[in-house]
Amino acid sequence: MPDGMMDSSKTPASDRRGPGPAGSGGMVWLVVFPAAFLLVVFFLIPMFVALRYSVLSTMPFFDPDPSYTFANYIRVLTEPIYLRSFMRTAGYAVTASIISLVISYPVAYYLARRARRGALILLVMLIPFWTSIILRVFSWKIILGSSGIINFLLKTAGLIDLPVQLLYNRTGIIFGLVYTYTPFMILPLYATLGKVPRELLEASEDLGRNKIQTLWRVTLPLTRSGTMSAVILVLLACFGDVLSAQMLGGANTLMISSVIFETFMGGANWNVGSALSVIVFGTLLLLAAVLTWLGREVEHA
Amino acid sequence: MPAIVIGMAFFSAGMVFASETRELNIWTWGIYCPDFATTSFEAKYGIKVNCTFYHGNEELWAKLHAGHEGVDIIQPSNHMIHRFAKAGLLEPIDTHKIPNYAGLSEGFKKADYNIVNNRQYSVPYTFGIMGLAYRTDIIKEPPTSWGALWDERYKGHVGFSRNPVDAGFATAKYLGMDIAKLDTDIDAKLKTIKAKMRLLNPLLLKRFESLEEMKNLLATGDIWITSADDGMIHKMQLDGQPVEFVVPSEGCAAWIDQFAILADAPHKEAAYLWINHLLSPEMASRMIQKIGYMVVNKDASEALPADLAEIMTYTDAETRRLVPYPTLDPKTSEKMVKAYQDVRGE
Repeated sequence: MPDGMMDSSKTPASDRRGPGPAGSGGMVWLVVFPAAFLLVVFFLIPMFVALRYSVLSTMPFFDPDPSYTFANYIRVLTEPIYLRSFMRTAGYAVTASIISLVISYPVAYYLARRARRGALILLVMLIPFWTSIILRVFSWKIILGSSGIINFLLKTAGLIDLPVQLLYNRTGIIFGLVYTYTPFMILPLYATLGKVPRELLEASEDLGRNKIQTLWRVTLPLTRSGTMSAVILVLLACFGDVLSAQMLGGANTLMISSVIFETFMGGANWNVGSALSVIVFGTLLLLAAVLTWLGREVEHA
Repeated sequence: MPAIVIGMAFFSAGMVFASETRELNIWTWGIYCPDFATTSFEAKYGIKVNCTFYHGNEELWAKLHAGHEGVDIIQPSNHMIHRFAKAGLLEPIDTHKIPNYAGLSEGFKKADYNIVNNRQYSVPYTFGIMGLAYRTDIIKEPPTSWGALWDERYKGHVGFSRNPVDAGFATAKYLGMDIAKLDTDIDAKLKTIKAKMRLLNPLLLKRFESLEEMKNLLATGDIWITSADDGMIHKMQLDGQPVEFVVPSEGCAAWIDQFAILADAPHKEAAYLWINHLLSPEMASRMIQKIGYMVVNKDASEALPADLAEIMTYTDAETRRLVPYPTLDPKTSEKMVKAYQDVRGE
């Protein structure tokens, strides 16, 4: 399910330049087909399977004739553990998205507007992605550990006596989430910042606005929609994250993705797990829709 | 699209071809498929061994239901055999096809857990004890009770299993419960167990996802004391790490991993050959040294190298405190998963 949730984030981030150039309908289909095929097979069909399981009393392989029920949904909505884990995850996801945005916007701005070889620097930034994500998250264990680089530097500088606990708690998870998903924030921001017409910025400065005013009055409003898309992408990806939660999280940082995973794989209850997935998926879809609406380009602003 | 069609054609051709060649497909724990076992088997019988790994008994149960085409052998722990056999997944075992079966320790051969309707459905392989482990260089007074995990002095340096059943058994034993009778009155018992587990929340550094993670946390000194499997600790001791394993005074659970053959296994004869191969004294002895867990082969366990024998031998008093993993109602396991989520999500 967590993979499914990540996929959903791609839907709202659609381009809004309107219909493409009017070409032959056949060509368009040829281009669209592979993506549509993948979406249907790996996303829509599993979603409907989950939807069906979520209203069954038991799994078909235990009882070939299970009855239909809403008990799974009632259980998910009334047991406090599920809402509590969801809200905890929301806290991590929002914090990580905000930190990531604060880091990414200046970087993307520099790459798109200032750097002479922005695209090349971007490529270099993506090189670590050739390594497995598990390896990269694991390396944070070494960096943040009680005898890791950060604690070593702090200790050498005489700032601390005992190591600071950066791992196996909230801090560790947020480090992991920010690290994992910041590139997904930078890329769309880079694209959207690159689209701001240079003439508008020059016009603004010609009319006596300083750089900060130009950023505030021209660049930010023009990149609002793209920024919101980037935030939605990262926010939803954080909800689906399992790696940071399991490798960098602690004893009391249970996230909703782990709850869903265990409800299936821990042998607990596939029907309740399906109901939980459907509810989480629905909530996130709604959230993405609201955020997209908030980020829409306002006419005559 | 043509690429997909061609890919599918290759895939199905591969499947047909596979069932005709001499091979064996095993779903097992990561430790039970070492190179020395597969290469010697392939050299001896000309049968290729394919191993796929899982990380938990419940995960295996879920995977089997999601589809197990072509799979021959699975290696669940003892307490799962009744559930698997009653679901019609397993083939009854003909022990005559396993000459090395005679060399197994008597106490393990036939037991309640592997007999359903007078038929034996599995062959025991290894056993592991789920007790306590601690860093001998940090904790100077050796712990004897599960209560040591709840000791305030170790706050922030305590580890505990993320597995709901393992964690539940440990807490239940500490509370003096009979884990074989958890099915009766489970709701009331889980309430008590949860209350005890909650007290552990502020003391824990991490609930380890795997024994490998536990080993790393102990080795770095991030955790000083933890629930643990004996095999992993034995391996650390052999590496010269300052750790010690304890069978707590309240007793603890011990699992016995099995060999079972699936009812619709395509290579049953090869499956018997593999089981017999791994139960030979030579393979058993190499396996013990590789994984740190005891294989239930008599000759192999009596002929251990001295250093291993010293750390792997338990006193009679310790052995009496062990309780085999009980066969529980799946509903009880489900409730234990939910109870542990409640505690962890506080």
